[in-house]
This record gives sequence, structure tokens and C-alpha cells, in this order.
Amino acid sequence: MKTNIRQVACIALVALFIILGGILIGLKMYQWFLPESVTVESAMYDQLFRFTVSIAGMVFLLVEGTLLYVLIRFHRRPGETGDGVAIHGNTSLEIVWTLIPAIIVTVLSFYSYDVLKSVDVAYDSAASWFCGPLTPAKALAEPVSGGNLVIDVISRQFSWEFKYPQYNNVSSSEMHVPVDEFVLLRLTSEDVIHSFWVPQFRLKKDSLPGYVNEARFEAKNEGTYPVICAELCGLGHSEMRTALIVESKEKFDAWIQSLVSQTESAQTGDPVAQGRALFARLGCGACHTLSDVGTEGQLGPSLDGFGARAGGRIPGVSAEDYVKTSLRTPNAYIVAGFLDAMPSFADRLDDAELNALVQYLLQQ
Amino acid sequence: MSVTSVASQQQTHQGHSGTLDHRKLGMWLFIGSEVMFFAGFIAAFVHFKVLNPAESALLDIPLTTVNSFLLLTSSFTVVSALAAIRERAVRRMWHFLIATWFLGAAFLMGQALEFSKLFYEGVTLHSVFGCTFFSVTGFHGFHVLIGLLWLLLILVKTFRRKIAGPEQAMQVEIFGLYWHFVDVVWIFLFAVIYLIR
Amino acid sequence: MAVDAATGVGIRARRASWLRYFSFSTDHKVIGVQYMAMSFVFLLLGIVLAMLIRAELAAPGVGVVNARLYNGIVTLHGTVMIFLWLIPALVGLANYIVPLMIGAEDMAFPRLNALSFWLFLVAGLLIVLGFVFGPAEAGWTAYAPLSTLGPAGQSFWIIGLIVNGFSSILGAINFVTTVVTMRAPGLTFWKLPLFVWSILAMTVLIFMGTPVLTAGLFMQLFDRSLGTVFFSPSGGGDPILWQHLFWFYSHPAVYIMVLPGMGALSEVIPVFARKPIFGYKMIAWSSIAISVLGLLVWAHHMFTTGVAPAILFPMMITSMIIAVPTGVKVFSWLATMWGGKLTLQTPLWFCIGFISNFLFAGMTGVMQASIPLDVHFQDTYFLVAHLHYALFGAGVFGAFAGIYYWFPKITGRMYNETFGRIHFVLVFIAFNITYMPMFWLGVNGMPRRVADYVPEFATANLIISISGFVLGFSFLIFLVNFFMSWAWGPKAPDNPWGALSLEWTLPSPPPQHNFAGRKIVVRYPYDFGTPAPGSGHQSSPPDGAGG
Repeated sequence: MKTNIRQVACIALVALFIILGGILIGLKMYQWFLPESVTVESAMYDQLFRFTVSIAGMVFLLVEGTLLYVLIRFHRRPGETGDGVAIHGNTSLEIVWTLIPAIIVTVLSFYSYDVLKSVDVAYDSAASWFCGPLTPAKALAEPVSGGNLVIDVISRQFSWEFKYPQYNNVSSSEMHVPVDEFVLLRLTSEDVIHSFWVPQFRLKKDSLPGYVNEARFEAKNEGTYPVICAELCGLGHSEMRTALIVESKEKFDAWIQSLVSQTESAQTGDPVAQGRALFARLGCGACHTLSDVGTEGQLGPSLDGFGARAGGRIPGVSAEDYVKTSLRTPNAYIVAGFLDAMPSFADRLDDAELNALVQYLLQQ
Repeated sequence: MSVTSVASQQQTHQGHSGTLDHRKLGMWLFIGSEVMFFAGFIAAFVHFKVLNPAESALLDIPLTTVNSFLLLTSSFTVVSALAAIRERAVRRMWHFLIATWFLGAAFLMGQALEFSKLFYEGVTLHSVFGCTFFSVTGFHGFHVLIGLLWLLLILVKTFRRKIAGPEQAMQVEIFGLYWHFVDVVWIFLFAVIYLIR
Repeated sequence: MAVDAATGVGIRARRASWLRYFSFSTDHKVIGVQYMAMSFVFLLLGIVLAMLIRAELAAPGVGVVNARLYNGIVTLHGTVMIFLWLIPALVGLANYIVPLMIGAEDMAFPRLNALSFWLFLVAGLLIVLGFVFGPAEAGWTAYAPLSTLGPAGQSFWIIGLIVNGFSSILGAINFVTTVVTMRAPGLTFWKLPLFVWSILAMTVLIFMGTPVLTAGLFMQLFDRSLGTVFFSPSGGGDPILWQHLFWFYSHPAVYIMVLPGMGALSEVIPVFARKPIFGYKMIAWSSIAISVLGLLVWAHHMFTTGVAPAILFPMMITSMIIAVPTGVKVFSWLATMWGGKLTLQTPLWFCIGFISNFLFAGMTGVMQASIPLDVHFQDTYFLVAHLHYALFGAGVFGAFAGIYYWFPKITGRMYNETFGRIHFVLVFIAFNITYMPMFWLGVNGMPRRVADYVPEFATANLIISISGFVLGFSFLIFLVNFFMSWAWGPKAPDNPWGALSLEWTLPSPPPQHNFAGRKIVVRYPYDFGTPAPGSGHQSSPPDGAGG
């Protein structure tokens, strides 16, 4: 009788240790392992993370603890002969260690579904359960959802373009959003598969050619956060990053208005200014260093002092032709020591824009 | 504590699991893997057919129905050939095997006809319908061709030796399994590609 | 000419016997060694590639190799380690041991067996050769459209993998047929060693999954060379179709890589604990369950693609459920060791390392099974850490447990135990230091397959790189031990470990025709242990094989 109580007490103590230890591990991981949590969705994610890691912590303590205990208690002492005890199994124990993990994963599934409904648009309604990513035609035909800010994210090798369809379709290579507002993203790619990832938002969605994917978030903290491409997309995959700026509504309005007026004036104004705006919008800086706009890309040659070099690069080719050809068929004149990683801009620039860009670059 | 048994000196590759011959099991497993191979292509076809049904209007159902009937009949002739060799009736087996061969060859010619008609009507590899249709039916035709070559080998071997023992029956049976698989795959393809709209 | 008393083989013939390994032999033992030897050659290549990756990642900035070469190295590293090292090594080990364990003379189809090996060799050469023609640079996952647009080496890669697929499928058919039809009389399924169960489960996955990948590979090849549009959006095709076809095989592939190691653990642990395996039937069923479930989880690699929830959500459930049979195995092994008398030698150490590493793989696996959690982990260094814990920490450690355990049987020599322990300590510590920080890196913003990263990650990456180099070099200790022991190690007795499965009743190494002319005594292979005194939880082994 006494041994039984002692055994039960022992098991209870160990169980308590494991449970408390696991919870502690979950809390600690939640504190220092994760990056800053910036959105409503990332907060929900972190709760689920903390819960899951607590359970993982308990399993860890149980299994590693048992392993260590077994190694210490049951290793063969010098001179010890003979076998262990001939136990082939224990049905109740086997049932327990099948059922408990089954219950754990069931709980995790329910909790995950709960979070999923709140963070991912596709899990919102019964109808959307059977739709995959939307096709471009379908997506563009959908009215821009009531009230929320919509941003079209277009990914290409190796830059991001963010378009604001509610603001004359102006675009930028950096995303600005107002704080405390729901934002809906519509993602697509023009070449290979990329993936839009903002760690602080716990948000990642692939952008696929031929499809439009949707994602949404509501940011609570102002700041600048990295947008990282998370799907191998070619030679410039490591460089395919940009910034997402969360700012006050006033700052956002000011920014978007300046972008709108810039784009309007660019139609009639100074081609050099238009060229500079294009350089920024098309994300050329991801691969090219250019002090004038403050970019530091390393994948392609630096464009500082380009104006002086362009004419003499290829004998018989004028500076203007050199730039135009490089933009349309980039592999025509690769600089020694660099790879053929530049995509063609032939379809992305009309003649006026091409001209503006040429004018701008020849001024560097 | 233990069951003692003596290793049989005659432990050849007959296997010890009762009546299951290892070559038959091997062929069944091979057929299983081939089913998965075709499943990949059929999945592609169905995936795109769901989205792009237009070109399937060009398919020649009457021609292919006749073709399918030929292939089905060839399965029947194989079964008859097997029955024949089990009764040691070598001549009868040859007749049925040769019939199988010609039916299979006729099927292939029918397929070639269907392919050329579709090409003529502008269905190429450069459309999703074209590439999924030609790849799945093309691989099927390739499997029929392999079967015909195999059947030729069997015909040559049995013609030369003129015996019809259990070993030969096994070879015909295993070939029969393969041939039935090719036939069943066709039935499935025919239903999915030609019949279901 | 002197004659060896035990085997009756002329000694001159035995000296030249190593030449057999370079010939077209249909003896499963020769083929097994051929597979393992070639896989180790490819392993060395894979390690060199890994060290190049870590050299590049030791500091921020793209310095050591250019971006094209880097992507090619990353692609080849994954491809070599999966298709040309781990899977063939396990197939080789199984090839050698399984017929012996079931009392068979050889595999069911010996010539097909040889063909499988030589196809593997050709495939390996094609894949590696492709590197020269402009490397395949879309990762081992070869996502379209990046892969269909890539340089010529990608086509070599595709064809090499198709050929490798034929090799695998033919091998798998051989294994299943052998286990089902060629067991010694009286050797029922419930008396089979659990290693054989695990190989059965593994080979079922191979011939169910590989053909689907083969179909997809043909489609990629056609897209690249015939202008078809399977995966090309501009032609109406769908890049996601490739992902489905690819992962339908490649998820089971990870179980293919882990199941044999698990089987080896089920062999080694009872022997080194001198205790019966705990819960034989549950472990056997769990292998089958992992195999079946393993075919139903593939879309968990596609949680961020935006594919319909109706496809993704069920696979979240199945991915969670698969933790249950894998947990059953871990608990059973611990229960086997509990109350045993553990002899702490190298094979057991690798089992212990397996359990510890597999714990992390499994826990992070369950975390990734949850769709909302996985959204953050997918395609980051968290995933790189998880996959290495699963395939290296568990898969390779399990393979080593088996290799050290069966080394005496295969080579006829004992390996050096001290070197073995040094190898284990080095690889276990270096492995954990290399891969543990990657969990943190991934969660904090480092994506995978990058040659460059932000300066904040520099320290962690430097530590990983240094530790990675130590990890790479640790294999040299194994190789030195391996070669020296095979050449000059002490002769191994028939049964150095006192194990009870059939292969240990033969000399080390076994004679050419295995059991011919011998009595096969079939018994339950885990009949260790002294009966428990008095009352207690003593259930009998399956099939009433005990007593």
C-alpha cells in the first residue's frame, strides 16, 4: 500500500514538473524566440505558437528526461551479466501513449482552425473553401471590397511592385500602409513563383504567375518592416527584398497624394524626374547601386558614373542605344564578372518611359 | 520457444507462401506502379479538362469506340489462349495469341489515325488539351507497343520449343496480366477522355 | 592453394573477392555493398557541396561563389543527399540484410536487383554530369516555371531522376515480392524482424509514389524540349500541378528515408538492452500506418500557395495524425530500454542520438502541420532545420546505427569501438550546434536558398558554418574506421552481439548461397530477458512464440 502511494506521488510530481516545465518553455520561447508582433493576426499566431510550444516543451521534457534517466539508471555496470526483464508489452500503457498524442493533435487542429478562420481570407466562408487562388480575370472583376485598402502586389525577378487601385493605380517599390486599418493584398507574379513574406506580420503568401492570391492584415504598430521573397526565384532571390512602412493615417495620406501628383506631373514634366521615379518604382535598386536614390544592390553593376561610361562601353554603340538595348535585351551586353540575371523590361515600359529612364540614367 | 524447420535444398525461387508465385506477385506490383504512373497523367488531363473543355469536341468517338472494342476483344483472346495452354492445346493457344497480336496492332493503327486527324484539325502539343491528351494516350500506346513486342517473343519461344507445360502457361499468364492492365487503363482513359463531358 | 576451413573457399579467391564488387553480380550481398559504396561516394560529394554552402554563408555578402553557381550547388546538394546518398544507402543495407533475415537464398528477382543498381549508377552520373552544362538551379524541388526556364543541366537532372525512379521502383517490387514469397518455412509475419516490416513499409511507398513523380518529370521534360504547356501559365498550364505531382512522391520520400533507420533501431535496441522489444505488434502496425498516412499528407508543403482549403485543411489533419504512430515507436523504444541492461556501444549510441534528434524533428513537424503556424515557417531556415533534424538527425543516425550494427556481418571484421564513439560524439554535438540555431534564424527572417542575409544574422551563421565544417569532417573519422577495420580489424565471430535474428546464425561474412545446406531455426527474434519474478506485466510475444 505504502509503495503504491509513493509510486503515485512520484509519478504525480514528475507529471507536474513536466507540465509546468513545458508551460515555462512555451512562455520563454514566446518571449525571446519570435520577432516583434505587429498585427492583429500576428498576435493570434503568437498565442497559438505559445500553446503549441508549451506542449512541445512537455513532450521534450518527458522524452529527453526518460532517455537520460534510462541511460543513467539502466546501463550495464561493469561485471554485470544477464539479461533485462522479459516484458513484451503492456496494453494499457500502449493505449495511453497512443490516445494522449491523438488528443493533443486533435486539440491543436481545432485551435489551428480557429486561428486560421481569423487570419486567412480563404478560410472565411464556406464558398471560398473550394476555390483556389483566383484567376486574374476573376480577381480584377471583383469590386474592391468595401472600405478596406487594397494593394496589388506584383512580383517579378527580382523586385516588388505595389499598386494602389483605389488611388489611380499609382505604384511604388515600397509598401506604405496606414496603421490600425485592414489592408487586403492581391498577389500575382509576372514570371516565376515568388512568395511575399513579412516576418513581423507572420504573413506569407505565394505570388503565382497566372493566379491572384489574397491575404490580409491589420497593423497595430508603426515602423518599417522587411518584405522578403521566400520562394527560390532565380539568381537574385537573396536580393529580392523591400520595405513595408506602417505609418499614421495622415502620413500615409500625404505619401499617397504625393505619389499621385508625382505620377500626374510626370506625364508632362521633366523626363529626368520621371526617370528617377521609374527607377524607384520598378525596383531597379534591388540589383543596382545608385547613390542618387540611395540603393545598394550588388547583383548587377553599380550605376554611379554610368553616364560617363555608357558611350564607350561597346564600340559603335551610342550611349542611348546601349541603355535601350540593355533594358530590352539585358543579356546583349553583360558586364564582365556579372551574371545574366537581369529581366527584360521590354513589355513594362512604353516609349516615353523608356526615354525618360534613358535620360535619367545618362545623367548619373 | 522456437519452431524448428529445415531449409529446403530445393528452395528455389518458387517461394513459400502457398500458391502465390513470385513472378505473378511481381507483375501485380509492377502493374500497381504503372497505375500510379498513369494516375499522374490522368490527374493532369482531368485538371485541365475541368478548366478547358473546348477542344474535346474534336475527338472522334465512333472511331475510338471501334478501337476500344478491338482492344477489349484482344483481352478475351488472351484469356482463351491461357485456357488453351492450360489444356495443353498448343495450336489453339497460338491462334488466340496471334489474334491478340493483330487486334493489338489494329488498335495502335486506329490510335495513329485518331492522332493524325487531331493534328490535322490543329490540336498540337502547345495547348493544355493537346499536351495532356497526347501524353496520356501516347504513353498508353507505348505500353501497347511493348506488349506487342513481348507477345512476339512469347510466340517465337513457344513456336520454337513446341511445348506447353506449366512454365509456358505461367509466362502466358503473366503476359495476360500485363495485357489486361493495358486494356483496363484504356477503358478508364476512354471513359475519362471521350465519354465524360 | 590454402582453403578456408569455415567456408571452404580458396584463400586466393577470397583476396580477389573485392573485385566482385566492381562486376555485374546478381548476388544480393554484392549488390548491397555496391549500393552502399556508391552512396558513400555521393555522400562525399554532398558533404563538399554542403561545405561550399556554409563557406558562402559564413559571412554576409555574396563572395565565395557567384549566385548561379550557388543555386546550382544548393540544388545538387539536396538532390545528391536524398536520391544518391540516403535512399540508395538504405536500399543497399536492406538488400544485404533482408534476405538473410528471412532465411532466403537471394532476392526474388536477382537480375532485376542488379539492374536496379546499375540504373542507379547511371542516374547518379547523369545528375552530376548535368552540373557541367549549366547547373539545375531551381532547388531539388524544381518548381515550375523556374525549372522549365532553366539551363541545360536541368534536363540532365530530370532524365537522371527518371532513370533513378525506374531503379527505385524495380527495387521496391523486388523487396515486396521477396518478403511476401520467400520467407523460410514457419517464419510468419508476426515473427519477422521489425527491420523487415520497416523495409516493407518503405518499399510500398516507393512504388506508390515514385511513378507519380516520374509522370511529373516527363511533363517537365516535355515542357522544356517539346513546347508543351503543362506548367506554363502563358500557355494555360498550371505551376501548381507540378507541386502536387512532385510532393505526392517527395513527401513519402522522407518516410522512405526514415523508416529503415527506425527498423534498425528496433533491431539494435533490444539486443543492446538484452530485453524484448516492447509492443512488437504496435511497432509493426505503426510502420504500416506511417506508410499509408504518408501518402495522404503531401499538400502540407503547399500551405502558402493559396490552393483551396478543401485540399489543404484535410492534409493538416492527416499531418497531425501521423505524429501518433511515430510517437508510438519512440515510446516503445524507451520502454524497451527501461528495465534493460544497456551495453553502451556505438550502435546503441546512434539509436540514442536518433531518438533525441527525432524528438526535435517530430515536434517541429507537428508545429509545421498547423497551417497558421506553418505560414511563418514555410520556406525559411526553420524548415531547413526541421528537415535536417528529420533526414540527417534521424534518418542518417538510424542508418549509422544499422551500419555499425551489421558491419561485422557484412565485412567479417569488427570496427574500432573507440573511433565509433568519437564519431558519434563529434557528429551528435556538431549536428545540434549546426542545426539548432537555424530554427531561430528562420523565425526571425532568414529565408531558405539564399546566398546572402542581413548583418543581424552574421554571428549565428558563422557559428553554424564553423560547426558545419566540423560536422563534415566528422565523417572522415567514420571513413578511417571503416576502411582500416575492413582491412585490418579483428575477425568478427558469427554473432558478436548475441542477437537472435537469422542473419546472425551465419558466418561473418555469409557464404555465397546464404543458408544452403544449413538448418534454419525460426524463432521470435526478440526473445531476450529473464522472466519477471512473480506477478507483473508480462505479456507474451506475438504468435505465442515465447515459452
